[in-house]
Amino acid sequence: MATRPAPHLVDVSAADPPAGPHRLDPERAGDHVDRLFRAAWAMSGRREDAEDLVQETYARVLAKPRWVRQGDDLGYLLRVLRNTHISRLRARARRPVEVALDATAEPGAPRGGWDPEAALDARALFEIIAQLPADFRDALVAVDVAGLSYREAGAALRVREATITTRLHRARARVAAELTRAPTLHDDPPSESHA
Amino acid sequence: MPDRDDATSDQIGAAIRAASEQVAAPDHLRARIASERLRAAPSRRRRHRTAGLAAAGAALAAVVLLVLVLAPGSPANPSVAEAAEAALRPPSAPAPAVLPADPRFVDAAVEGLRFPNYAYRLPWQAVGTTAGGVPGRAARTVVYARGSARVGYTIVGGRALEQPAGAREAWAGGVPVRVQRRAGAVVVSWERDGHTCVLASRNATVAQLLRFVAWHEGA
Repeated sequence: MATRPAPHLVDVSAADPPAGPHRLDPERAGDHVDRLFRAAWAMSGRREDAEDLVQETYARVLAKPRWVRQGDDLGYLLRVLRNTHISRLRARARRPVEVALDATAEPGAPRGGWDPEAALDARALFEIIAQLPADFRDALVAVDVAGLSYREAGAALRVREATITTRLHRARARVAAELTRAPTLHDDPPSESHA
Repeated sequence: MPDRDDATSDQIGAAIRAASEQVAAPDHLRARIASERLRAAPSRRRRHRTAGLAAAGAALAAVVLLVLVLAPGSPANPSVAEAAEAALRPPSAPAPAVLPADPRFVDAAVEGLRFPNYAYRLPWQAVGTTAGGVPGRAARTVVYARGSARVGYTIVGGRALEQPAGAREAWAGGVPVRVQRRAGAVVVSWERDGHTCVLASRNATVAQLLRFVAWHEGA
């Protein structure tokens, strides 16, 4: 599975392959706002911060003509979003949260209570993703949240595809482990009434 | 086991994607972004208007082009090398003051394009300025210093100059730049909002000049 694209992204990649150096089209940059908003929420863990982060990202890229050196516009925008997020964290004079959720062992397959097919609550999910170590979080945000292929994510984060694959695998396992630890995130609370 | 792990990982990924795709940007955020786009639009409209005028005056442009071809290096068409010479000259006037409204810039500009105040974040001070120096074009140079090192920054008015042939291509702050060595000096040239900018120095490194470009071009 080292270099394969995410299965759900094959059509997107085929229809819109990464371009060579080109100017970012300001008229089309807004097409990515939903994906960037999801990514911003998953990075910051807070919806309100995500809105500010996305707006600041657009303000930066629209302020003057931009060259996209490699990859597509979404990958470029995601990289600016990530840099903006880091700048904002530094500006607040605090470090990005990089708390290992399970420092004792690398979780493998999710254990026990969590069913991968169960519907997830986005707010709780993004809070968990935001707490991941930065490298894991960025890979998961790029592929699973923003919808980049492995190749595009590697270009956006400037790491090899194989690195994306490894980080993504571990990030997903950590998210699953955390969901297992907090079953109320996806299960309905037990009813207190007895018919 | 690896296959099972992969399958499980894919299942988790699918669940995350499904949850994420339920989330859409709120309308007020879209409105704020549309507002940002409109704010950035005037410069684009200016470019479109310029393109329209150029098309309407095609015959005149052809005549001008003919003159330029017959007289290469004429004042109307200076070269990056001439701009670099201007950047390397000693300043003839005191350094511009820091812009009170925005201390990231100094109070000097060419056709609205401001010079950066590198002292805002880097240990480089503006020490002087010179007007002109590029034949046939409005131009200005601000000289920055760090110890004995000097860097001249020239902005050339009017349309962008032709980039020098044979210069090395590089990237700084997300923009393409050209790097060349000329008479013992390092020269970096690039475009800012359609104008040619040139950094030149006899005692600064290429990396330092690229850092200067990236300072105000980087996202």
